[in-house]
Order: sequence, then C-alpha cells, then structure tokens
Amino acid sequence: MTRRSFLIACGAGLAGGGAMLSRMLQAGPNNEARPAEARFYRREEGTTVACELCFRGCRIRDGEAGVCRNRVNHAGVLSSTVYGRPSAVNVEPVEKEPMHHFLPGTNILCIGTASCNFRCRFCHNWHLSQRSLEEVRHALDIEPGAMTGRARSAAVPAVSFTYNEPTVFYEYMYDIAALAHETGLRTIMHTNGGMNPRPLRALLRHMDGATVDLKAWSKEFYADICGARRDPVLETLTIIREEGAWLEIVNLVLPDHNDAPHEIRAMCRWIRRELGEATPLHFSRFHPTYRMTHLSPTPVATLERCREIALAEGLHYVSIGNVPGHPANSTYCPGCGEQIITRHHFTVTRIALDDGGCAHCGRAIPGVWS
Amino acid sequence: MELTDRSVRSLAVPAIIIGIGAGGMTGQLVLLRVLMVVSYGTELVIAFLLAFWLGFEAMGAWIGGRGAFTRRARALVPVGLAAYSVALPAVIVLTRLVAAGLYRLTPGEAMGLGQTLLAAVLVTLPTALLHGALFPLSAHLLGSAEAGRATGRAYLIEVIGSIAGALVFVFALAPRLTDLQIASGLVALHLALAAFALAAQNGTMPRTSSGSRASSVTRGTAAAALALTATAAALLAPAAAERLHTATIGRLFATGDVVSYRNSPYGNIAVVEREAEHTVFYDGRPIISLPYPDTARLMDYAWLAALSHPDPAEVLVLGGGMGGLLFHLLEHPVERLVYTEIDPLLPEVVAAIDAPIVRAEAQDPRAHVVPVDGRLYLNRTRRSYDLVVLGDMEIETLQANRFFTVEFFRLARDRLGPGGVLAFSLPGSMTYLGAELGALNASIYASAASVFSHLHLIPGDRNTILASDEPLDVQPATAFARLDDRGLGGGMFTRGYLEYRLDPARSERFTATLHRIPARLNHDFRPAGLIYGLRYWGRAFAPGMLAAFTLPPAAAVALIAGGLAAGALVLHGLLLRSRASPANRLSWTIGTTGAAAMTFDLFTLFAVQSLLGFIYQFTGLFAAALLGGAFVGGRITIARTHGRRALEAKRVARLLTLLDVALVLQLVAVIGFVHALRAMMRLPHAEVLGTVAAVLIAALSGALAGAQFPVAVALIPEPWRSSVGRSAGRLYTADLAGGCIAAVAVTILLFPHLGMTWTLLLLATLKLTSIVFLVSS
Repeated sequence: MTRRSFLIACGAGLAGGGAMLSRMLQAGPNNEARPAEARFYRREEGTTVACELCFRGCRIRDGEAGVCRNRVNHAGVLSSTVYGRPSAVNVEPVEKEPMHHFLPGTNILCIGTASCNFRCRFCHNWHLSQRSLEEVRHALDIEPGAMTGRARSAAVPAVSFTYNEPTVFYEYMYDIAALAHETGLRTIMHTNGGMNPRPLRALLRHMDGATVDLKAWSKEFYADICGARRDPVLETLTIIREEGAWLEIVNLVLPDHNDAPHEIRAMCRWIRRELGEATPLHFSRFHPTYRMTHLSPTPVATLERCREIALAEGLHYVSIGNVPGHPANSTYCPGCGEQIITRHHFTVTRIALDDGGCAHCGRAIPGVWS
Repeated sequence: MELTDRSVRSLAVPAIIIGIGAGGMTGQLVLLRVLMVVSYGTELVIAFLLAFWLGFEAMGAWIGGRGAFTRRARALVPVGLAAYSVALPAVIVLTRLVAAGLYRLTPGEAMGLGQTLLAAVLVTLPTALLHGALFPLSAHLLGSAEAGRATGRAYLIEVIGSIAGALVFVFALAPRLTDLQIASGLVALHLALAAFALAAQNGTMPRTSSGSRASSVTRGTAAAALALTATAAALLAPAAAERLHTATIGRLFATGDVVSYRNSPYGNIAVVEREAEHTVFYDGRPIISLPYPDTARLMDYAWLAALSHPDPAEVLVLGGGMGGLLFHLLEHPVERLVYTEIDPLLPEVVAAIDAPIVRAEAQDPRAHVVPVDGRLYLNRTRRSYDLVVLGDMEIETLQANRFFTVEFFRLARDRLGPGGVLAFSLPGSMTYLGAELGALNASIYASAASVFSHLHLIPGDRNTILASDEPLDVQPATAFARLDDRGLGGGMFTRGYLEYRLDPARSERFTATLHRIPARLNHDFRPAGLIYGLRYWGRAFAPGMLAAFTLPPAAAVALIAGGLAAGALVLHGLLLRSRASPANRLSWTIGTTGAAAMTFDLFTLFAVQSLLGFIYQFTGLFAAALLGGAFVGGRITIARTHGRRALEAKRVARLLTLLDVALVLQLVAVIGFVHALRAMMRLPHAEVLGTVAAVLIAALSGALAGAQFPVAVALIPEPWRSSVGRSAGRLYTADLAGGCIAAVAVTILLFPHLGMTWTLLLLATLKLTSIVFLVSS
C-alpha cells in the first residue's frame, strides 16, 4: 500500500465512522494476509532481502519470513502480513501498560497483532506473541483510519501499541500513530526495545511515550530466556530519551534469574546516568505463566529490595507492580515524600497534582499530565 | 546355607519370585511418583510411564526368555536381582539430576513433552528391562520337568508379590518414606534375594566333579558377601538415602530452600522458602504463595463471584481455596462456607507455614473444611447453596476435567438454591482467545450452557464464568451497590475497576467469539475438554504434538480404523501364516488379553476417579483386587490344565476360547458398570458401595485374565513347550506388550476422541479377532 492510498483509506475510514466499526466488530475468522510492503529493508543478491527493522537483521529468502513471522519476502519484496489485521483491540487503563506519568487514571485504546521478535519463556501474552497471523483465529480487519475512528468513538485520549511487540507491526503502528497525531490523539507503545535506531527515530516523531521492558541487566538472561540481546535495548532507551518521548521502564523480576542485587544496582546506575533520575522504573512481580509454570512467584521482599536499591541509586520514581495494595503501587513526590498519585493495583483513586506539580510542596513532577 | 532341591523349589524359589513381584510393583510406583514431580504431573505421564514400563518389561522378558536357554541361566538370577537393586536408586538420582540439568538452563521452566518422554525412558529402561528379564529366569529356577505348570506357577507367584508390593507401598511406605528411602529398602531386599538365590543354587547344583564343588564354594562365599552387603545396606541406607534425597531435591527446587517435602496418597507437596516467603508446590507446580498470594487474581475471582449473588449466605468451595480464595470470599457476608479439599495433607502443610491469611481462613468460625473430593461431596450433600465456587484448576487432566462436564454442571445446578450461582474459571485472556484457548473455553462454555439457562463470561487472565438458572445481574452499577451495602468499598474494587472488569461490551465480544467456535460438549466419559486442554498445553509445551489432538473426530476415527485394518493385514501376513502360527495365535490371544485387561483397568479407574475422585488411594486396593483375582483364576486353570487331572488338549483349547468370550463380554459390561456406579452415587455410603463394586469387578476381571495365562501355556507347542523360560518369556512379552500399547492408545487417542463406549466396543472387537483366530485353528 502506498502512502497516498493509505491516506485515502484513512479518509474513508473516518467518513465511514460507526458503520465501519460495526462491520469490523462482526468480522469473522478470515486470516488471509493482505500484505503491505514493509519499510526498512534492502535487497541483496537475487531475491533475498535483508530486514533492517530490528536488531536481528534477518536475511530472508524468497517465500520465507523473518524471526518475527510477520515480514515475508515475496519475490524480493518484503511485506508485512499483519498490516490492518489486529488481533486484539481493547480499551484498558493506561496504568496497565504500566505507564504512571502519562494521563494517569485514563483509559486508552490498546492495539496488538500477532507474533514477536523475542522468545521470552515467561511471556504473559504468549497466546498472541508466540504465533503467526495464520495461527490467529480471529484477526480483525481494521485500516488505520478506522482505528483512529474507533479511538474517538471510545472517547479515549490516546492509543497504545501493546500486547505483542509493536516492532513486528511497525508499518501499521506507524500509520495509525501518524494519523492519530493528525487527529489530536496521543500515542504510546509498550516495547521490548529491540527496534533498530533508524526506524525507531522515524517512529518517535509520532510517538508521545514508550514503556520499555528492560528484562534484565544480564546479557545471559536475554540470550537464554528471551532469545534476544540486551545492548540493542539499552540503545533504544537512550534514543527514546534523546528524542524526547516520555519514557518508563519495566523490569519483571523472576526469582533467581534477574534479581541479583548487584545486577539491579548496575541497572539502576545505568538508568540514572544515561536516562536521568526522573525515569520511572517499575519492578513487577512474576506469576507462573507460559513455559515458566514451575517457578515460584517473586517474593515481595525481593521486589522491595530492588526498589530500595533503585531509590538508593538516586532514581526518583520506583514502583512495585502486580502486588495489589502495596504502598509502592502509588507515586510519591521525591521532594516532600507525599503520595501524589494513589493507586491500588492499576486503579487510581487520588491524584494530588497541581498543574504538573506536587499538590503538597509544588515540586514539578515530570510526565504528560493533560 | 544348604538347601535340598525339593526345598529350593517349594520354598526358596517362590520366595525369590514373590520378592521380584513385590520389588517390581514397588519400584514402578516409586518411579511414577518421581516422574510426576519432575515433569508435568498428568495422566499423560502415568500413561507414558506405564507404557514404557510394560514395553521395556516385555523386552526384558523376551531377552530373559532367551537367557533361560543358556547354561548360565541360574547364575543370571542373582546378577539380575543385584543389578535391579542398584538400578532403582540410580535412576531416581539420575532423573532428578537430569531434570535439574534440563531446568538449569531455565530453572522453573516446566518440562516439555520431549523432555517428559526422555525422563520416562530414563527411569524405565534400566529398571523395567532388568525386572522383565528376571521373570523368565526365575521361572526357570522352578525346574523344567513340568514346563507349563512351572510357568503358570511362576506367573501366579509373581502376582502374589505384586499384590503385596502394591499394598505395602500405598498404605505403609508412601505416606512415611521418601522415594530414596523406599529405594534403599528395595536395594536391601534385592541383595538379600540375590544372596538367597545364590545359596539356593549352591544347594541344587549337581556335584559331579571337584570343579563344580569349587564353584559351589565360590557361590557360597559370594552369597555370604551379598548377604552382608544387604545387611549393611539395610542398616546404613536410611541415613544415606536421606542425605541423597535432600541433595537431589535441592537441585530440583533450586530457587529456594525446600523446607518440607511430603507425600500423600494423592500427590507430592513441597514447600520452598525464599526470602521468608513460602511457595507450596503440588506435584511440582506452585499452587499457593504465602504470605503474599496472587491477590489480583484471587480477590478478583472471589469478589466478582460473591457480587454476582445478592445474598451469598451459603457458599461451597470445591478445591483450590486455601491461601486466598477462602479469605476473600469470607470478606463478604457469608453465613456458612464449606470447603472441600481432597488431600488432607495440604491443610496440614499449609497450616504449618503459619501465614496470617491462612490463619484467618482456618480460624473463621463460618468456614468448615471437609477432607473429601469436591464432586463426591456434591453428590452426597443434601444442602443447597447460594454460591458454588470451583477453585482454579488446570483442565488438561482427567482429575480436573470431571469438574467441567455436562454431568458435573447438572449436579451443581441441583445443589444450588433459588437464584444460586456456580462460578468457575478457565485459562483465559483479557486480550485475545487463540485457537486452542478459544476451543477450550467454547467447549466448557457450551457444556455449561447446555445445563444452565443463564451464563455470563468475565474475560481475564483466567476467564470467570458465572452460571445460574435465574437471570444474572452482573452490571457494574449493581455490583458497586452490593459492595456498598456490604461495606466493602475502597481498595482495588472501585467503581472504575468494576466498570472495567464487568464491561458488558468486552464480555459480549468474547462470548460472541466463543459462540463462533465449533466445539464438542465435554462429558465425563467423552472428555472433549481433555482434548482441548491438552491442545492448549501442547501449544506451549509441545507444538509438534498438536496434530494428535487437533484431528476432527471423523479423521480420528478414520485414522484408528485404518490403523486397525493395516494391523490386521500385518497380523495375518506375518504372524498367522508363518511356521510359528500356533504359537503366534496364542501370543495374539494373550496380547489382546493384556490390552483388554489394561483397557478395563483404565476405564474402571477413570470411572472411579470421575465419580469418587480418589484414584491414587484406590489404586493399591484396585491392583490388589485385580491381581488377587488373577491369582485365583490362575490357580483354578492350572489345576485343570496341568498334572494328572489335566483336561485333554481339545477341551483346554475350548476353555481358552470361552475365557476369550468372557473377556469380550466383560469389556462391554464395563459400560453398564459405569452407569450403575453413577446411579449409586445418590445412595448413602456411595463411596463404600462404589469401591466395593469396583473391587469386585476388578477381581473378576483379574480372574479372567489370570486364568487364561496357564491355559495358553498348556497349549503352547514345541520348542517353547519344553522350556519354562522360553514359554514364559514369549507369553509374558505378549501380555505386557498388549498392555503397553493399550495404555498409550486408549489414554491418548481412543478415549479422548471416541469416548468410553466406542473405545470399549473397539477393544471388544479387537478381542473378537483373537476368538476368530482360535476358532479357525
């Protein structure tokens, strides 16, 4: 699909409004890919192509797909099979991302497709992330214009690209994000951070915020448990900071895998040094899922120790997730120590902010508040 | 030790064979327990272990049968006993280390299918092979003057040992000792048996030359050494076994300290401590986390269920309630809560952790814990409930599947008061139902919908389904008003949270998805839910296996029918037309009897598990009844087929055919038995009546199978006839191989796809082929 035809489709989608939404809701199981040409790849010898979208740099022969399963080479043309084919579109609280300093207490429209470029054995959304479009039974059929129309119908202030890794539906995400900005919607994504710098910088022109999974400080953890690499993720974090999009980091703590105090300390030092002390960091509790069903849930004491280390290293906004009712679900002012956003799990019950500043001491709290 | 030839045959050799039988059964049960903990503990694992055990034992029996021909046959018995004794603890340690090794790449990652198969092969190959070889070799010790009678006797004597082993394991050893302690006891037993075997040979060897006398002395010395070793092993092993146990278990649960590791008749319970927090593992899987349970899940489930009823005064929770679910239900104005927990050891172990949430559950005067299977309780209770809540269960086991069947839903509906609600959960997703997840949910949802007039789905990481015969009011506003009335506002359950969790649009969208997915209803004896559950499990752990479970029923039937046709051709071509045709026909008869007996065993166990729920405890009793029946049946036919009062060959052949006919009828009768058992559930003392009925029918089945073996032995032609070891090896191999193939085929393919009735009819047809072959010969 060309840029021009895409814009025409967007216009049609907006004009269609509710009728189109209704038709999409009734969409049945039709998983025929209608591939759109991918961006960020180059042709090599013959019909082989080299994908330049993520750190993997897959060399893809004619008729084959990359590790992400979504980018397929058709006679030397790389295509995205999931363009316009989301598998999950839901309205969710923004806190679920988690994103604590970005329009707290609001609901956002969340969009996901199939597959991923990582192979994490603890993936919470493995039903979506560890399969291809062909294996997804009820993929929908929603062009970018219709998606933004859906967001406006739901009266949400932002759309989020989440559930599975948005890198693997880059073109679809990019077009929705661009159109969303044109229509006044905010955009955020929840990513594993494996995107290459060039496509990332291009995307960030249309992205207001990002939650990045920094899965561990150890390179071995990335290699053994996620089938990925750590350093591209660190590069992604610094680029997001440079480009000025709002950035938050999640670290899912798995007992005995990525919870060593010296690793947590090294990670926090790096975050403070490279990204700044105001970067929110979430330590999330692991519960057995996917292939890691024989591992204990993370002890709360471990999460509290991680938080103490992070605070001691100078980070200002460190929370604990997946432990409903824990005081560290909430956000505290680093100036006066008062609670400025009261949360119970992902429910916000009180916001004590005045024009972006602490309602108690007036200290400016970084974030996207309105 | 100096024994005469007569005393050897009448006392020593039978004692050795009893020991072999007891050691084999006990070893098999210990290894099953080890495998259930290290791998993914489902009936699939039991089927694999049983199949591999029988398969390798059959192979061992065949090899042993060949060995019985050799001049060293007698010497091989003590060697085999000693080797088996060493193999048992060795494979336990090795399996744990290999499992820990496999885990070490990713500690906490569950074994996949390939790894489970590997572990099953690892534990059974050395042990079952050696044990299988011991049977024909030890049968050979009984002498060859009356080969047929000796083989039959050996079979029956081993049966006695197996009965003893099963009973001692289930009622005496399993609840008290660790796996390695039991194994070390078996080391001592087998070394003593080996010494006994050597000594026995010492007494029976002919002394025709100085050489053989010297050999006799050597054997005596070896026997004495073995006896001393056995004594030392018996004295020293417990402490060593305990140390080894602690070390290997520590490797298995590497992410914390194992502070408790206990076995009950139902499973293994381990408690692992890390940073002063405890996780309770049941058969290797974490089920409770203390003092911080998974509140987001447990509170959400408990409160949404409780809020679906205007006044949940009488509440029944079936399993999975300790460590959070009960606590959060009791936060509502419940007047009386009954909690059924099948494993009485679990409350004991959890109470020992002494976490505030567990203390609150235990000390609440409204809560009553009943140590019984939930479904059995539901069958027996005369009370009606406002709310019945099923604890979270994984559905890919038969044990759990029976709580999601049409029959269960009917039972639950009958126990609900006016406006009563049944709440249950399934693996789910807030975002998307994949193919396997969708089919699983669709099947169970449709099964519930076939019973209840009103259903409501609340999507979540586990989908919550509410079912009632009255309209359900699950509007966020109603739920919020009920919260207010109950004084439970605040915390996680805000108005916004309820609007999000009870969003009607999301519920309708997911429900519409379920309606679109074609899925079979889940029944007790046609467990479609098990197939869908295994598919879901397979998606994560064995994507390559999915094909076996994604066949549509018609394709499965075609595959099975095609397989049978091909098998019949092979059978006809290779077995029956060969020169060894008469022996092959007898082997086929015994092989199909092995398959029929295994199928009978499995279905009786499935029925008891489904309706009564106490399969593990029942297994020992069942095995004892079955084997006891086999012993009696065998004794009767030995008397009619061997010795001076033996029937003439023609009448023996007719007896064999009659027994085959009885076996066919027995398979068909199981269908009636299952329905009778279901009807019995409403009677007082249903579990006692059901158990007695199952035990009686098991004894009858055992008698039929046991009676056939000596009859077949009596008919076996030369050259097998004149050799005890060889005839025993051949027929025993056929018996075990039939059982092995049936264990896998019935559990994995036939039962889940075809259901009970068709599977039994198919097996009855298979047994009919044996009758045809017998009659045609």
